[in-house]
Order: sequence, then structure tokens, then C-alpha cells
Amino acid sequence: MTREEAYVKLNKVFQEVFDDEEITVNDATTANDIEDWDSLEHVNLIVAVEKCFGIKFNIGEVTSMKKVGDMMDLILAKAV
Amino acid sequence: MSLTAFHYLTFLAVTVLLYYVLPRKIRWIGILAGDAYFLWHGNSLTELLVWLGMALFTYAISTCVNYLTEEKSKKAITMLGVITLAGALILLQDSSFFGLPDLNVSPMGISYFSLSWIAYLVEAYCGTSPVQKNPLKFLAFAGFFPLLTSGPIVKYKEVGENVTSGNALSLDNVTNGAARIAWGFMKKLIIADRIAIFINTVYGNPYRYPGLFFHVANAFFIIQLYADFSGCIDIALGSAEMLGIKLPENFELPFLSQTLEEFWRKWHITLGGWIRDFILYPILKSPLFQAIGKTSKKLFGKKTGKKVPVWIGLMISWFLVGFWHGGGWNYIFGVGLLFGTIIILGQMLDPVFAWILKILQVNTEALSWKGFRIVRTWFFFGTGLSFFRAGGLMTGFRNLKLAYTSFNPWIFFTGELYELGLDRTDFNILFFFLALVAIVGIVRFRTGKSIRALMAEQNALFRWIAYALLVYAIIIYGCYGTGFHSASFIYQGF
Repeated sequence: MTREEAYVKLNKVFQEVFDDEEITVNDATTANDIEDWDSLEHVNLIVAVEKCFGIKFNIGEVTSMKKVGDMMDLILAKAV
Repeated sequence: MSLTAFHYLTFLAVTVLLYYVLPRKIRWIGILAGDAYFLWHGNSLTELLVWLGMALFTYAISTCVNYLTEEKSKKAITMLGVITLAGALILLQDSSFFGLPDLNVSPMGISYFSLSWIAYLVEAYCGTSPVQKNPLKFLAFAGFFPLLTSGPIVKYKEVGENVTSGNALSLDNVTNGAARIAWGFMKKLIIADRIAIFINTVYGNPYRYPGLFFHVANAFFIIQLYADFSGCIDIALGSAEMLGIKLPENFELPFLSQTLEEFWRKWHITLGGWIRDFILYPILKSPLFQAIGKTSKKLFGKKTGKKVPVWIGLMISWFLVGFWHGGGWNYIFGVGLLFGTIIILGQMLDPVFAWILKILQVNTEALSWKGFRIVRTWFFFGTGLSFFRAGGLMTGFRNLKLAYTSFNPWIFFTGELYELGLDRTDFNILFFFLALVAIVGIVRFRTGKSIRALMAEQNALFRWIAYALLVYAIIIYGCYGTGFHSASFIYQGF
């Protein structure tokens, strides 16, 4: 899976979790860029990403993601 | 050794000197020596041995995690480490909560360092933190003396390497660190220890001082706790800065928060962050909570349903925040469940509030509305804290009853407030320095720059005069000696 292909899927996850079809994310996107992305919604997002890509993040990874680019790096490293 | 004792300043000066005299490669030995001296003075021999046992145990577990390759074994050994450290914290600190005798062997700072070490083990297992292979370097981090009084609760990946890296001498670091220490001394000795005299008088005799006496004392307690705790953190962060080590901030202008939720993101930040990362997130990610989420979405719809597991997780987290403060129901209720309930009710009723505001055509951007929300947040926080200060759950409720069943506004005009241990001069000193802290906070809020960054832009002569005045003020107006003794830090007891 290329980064671009992964972003197509990831954008859908973001749109679904935050109920906003306008959302598109990139490597530089952070929680500050999306209004409802707070620490509590973060877990819902993580679980939705895990389901979508068939992967699991450990708790250290969940708390280490500072921007969407970090999340994407982990997705590509884990997704087969 | 209290951080506000002259002994501490001498110790710090010697440690900083030793650190920079040593070659850079072995500068961490200067920190290790400082840690050893600080731990030796702050603990009995048994407590010291307990600390050393826990530290070496944590080192051994992290080493095993680092060398093991099989996932199952890594997980099992990490669980063993986490459960043992958490068990030691609960048994040594809160044994009375379970009806067990107090063993009296709790090492200083156990509530802080045990959480740091648990985070270290979990992150070592997750592969998101480096692992320190040198046992002595690990001990230099584990016992890093500025953290042992009241935190902050740090992560190894943020601080550990910096403790052992051997930082270059920087005059800016040394002077900035010293200035921050002086600022912490001012908060503690001039504000916290002075205002405490009034609070102790009222809380010591609540039947004599009901109604507004109590409300004033309780408002003062918010100030005392902030000045005391953030003052201690200033001294800790300043001490580390003198060694070129940056520790995480624990406060970020909490009193400008408009909601209790926001307040707790800015007050005792490192505890809130730890609870979120290592309690709330694992709970919410667990299969059980995912199943609860699925069911609640079916029952209440997507929007509300997905919040149900979060609310349950939040209440568990708030229970633990309260429990961490001390194994008593006044802490669990006052600094835990009460705040959790207010935050969750706020989220539940958010649509109702939004509807009322719309009907009443309230301008939510107006300064008056924001001011109201800030004062409301102080009120909620202060109410919870009154249980913290009361020392018992039922005592807390009794105090509130006395506060709300007596009406005595004349105390503001009869001079009675000056008869509770602080005279007019004390009040003037108090309000002057409180105003100084408030101005510094507002400048930070408006400019985004810390006062020290702004001072660094000024001429050296002005800067040094300001620092000298601060030190002079601490010596003249600080609370020392009989009646005005330098008390222990409130959060040191946890």
C-alpha cells in the first residue's frame, strides 16, 4: 500500500469519526487543526484506524503520535 | 531536606559546581552524587533501602524487556513490573485505606517516581522509549533530586537521556534557573506560608468562623495551594535548568480556564497526562469498553452512545486522581469524583445549555460571559478543594453546611478579618505579591512569552536589579520562624 492509497482510506476514517465529509488530513495535520479532536476522541479515532487497516497500536504508540504523519508512518510499518 | 531550606541552596550550589567541574562524559556522576545525598537526607535507612530495591527492580525489569524477544514473555515481565510498582505505591502510601497498618517505610516522592517508573516500563515494552542499560545512569535518572519533592511526573524518553548526557555550561541556564528558584521561593515563603495562617485559623475553628469567613478561607486555600505547589515546581524546574535539564511544566495559567475540564488540563499537567496515557487510554481501548461503546451506540445513537464508555472511563480515572492524593474519601470525593461528575454532567447537558443560551441570546464572545465562566470554574475547583483541606469527608460536608447556613457580610467592614493571624500589613504584602504573580500570568497570556524570556530582552543592569529586589523581598517578607515557620510543601505529603 502506498502512502497516497493509505491516505485515501485514512481520510474516510477521519470523516466518519468526526462526522465531517470535508476533512482531509496530511502528514502535518495535528489535533489543533480538527475542532473535535481532543484527547477523548483520540481513542475513538485510534480504534477506527485499527479496524480500517487491520492493525493494532500499543499504548506507547497511541500516546506518542504528535501529528497525522506519525500515525501514517506506523500504519505503513504495520499494515501488510 | 526542604527545597526552601538554606541547606538545599547550599546543596544545590555544590551539586551544580561538581556537575560542571567534572568532564562532560562523566557529569552525570555529579547528579548521581547529588541524588544520593538528597535521598540520604530525605529518608530513613529503611526508606532508602526500599527506594533502592524498587529502583533496582525497575532497572532489572526494563533490562529483561530490552533483551527478551518473545512478545508473551516481554508482556508478562512488564506486567510484573507495573503491578509490583503500583502495589508498592498503594501499600506503602495508602495502607490505611484498606484497613492495614501504616508500615512507615514510604520513601520520599514515591507517588511521583513510581508513576514515572511505571511509564518507563510500559514505554520500554512498547518500544517507544529508549532503555538505559547502565544501572548507575538509571539510578541518576530514577533519583533525580529535583523531582523527589512534588514531581513533576516525567517520562524517561523526555528527560532521562538529558540527565545523563553531560550538558555544557551555559550562563543563561544557570541564571535563568536561579531566577526561577527565587520566583518559587517568593510564591512559597511570601504568599503560601503567609496566607496559610489565615486558613489554619478558620479551618481550625469552623464553628467560630462560619459563613463568609469560610468562603474567604476557602478562596485563600486555592491561592495557597497554587502558590505552594507551583512554587515547589518552580524550584524543581529551576534546579534542573541550572544543570541544563529541561523538565516538563506542571501548570499553564490554570486560573484563566473557562471550564473545569480545561482547568485540569492546565493544573498538575503531568499527573493528568499520566492518568490519560496509562489509565484512561488503555481502559477505553480495552475490548470490554469497545463492547460497551457498541451497545450504547445502539441504545442512544452514535453521538451520545460513543460518549458512554468515555464517561465511565473518566469516572474511573477521576477516582484514581482522588485516590492518588491520599487514601481518604475526602480526596476521592473532593479532588476526584466531584470533578468527574461536574465535567461529565457538563458534557451531557451541553445541548441543553446551548439551547438556553440561544433562547436568552447570550453573547458567548463577550468578556462578561468569559469572566463568569472563569469565576464558575474557580467556584467548582474551590468547592472540591474544601474537602481536600478539611481532612475528612464528613468534616468537609459539615464545613460546607456552616459556610452556607450563616450570613455575615459585615465581616468585610468590621475589621474582623484582620484578627485571624494576618494584620493589615500582611494583607498588603499578600495582595502586592499576588498582583505581581497575576500580572506575570496575564503578560504570559497576552504575549505568549514567559517573564524570564521578557527579562532576558532587557538590559543586564535592569535585570540584575529586578533579581536583587526579588531576593531582598524574599528575605524581608518571607515567612520564617515562630508563627511564620517555613512549612512543608502540601504536595510533598503525597
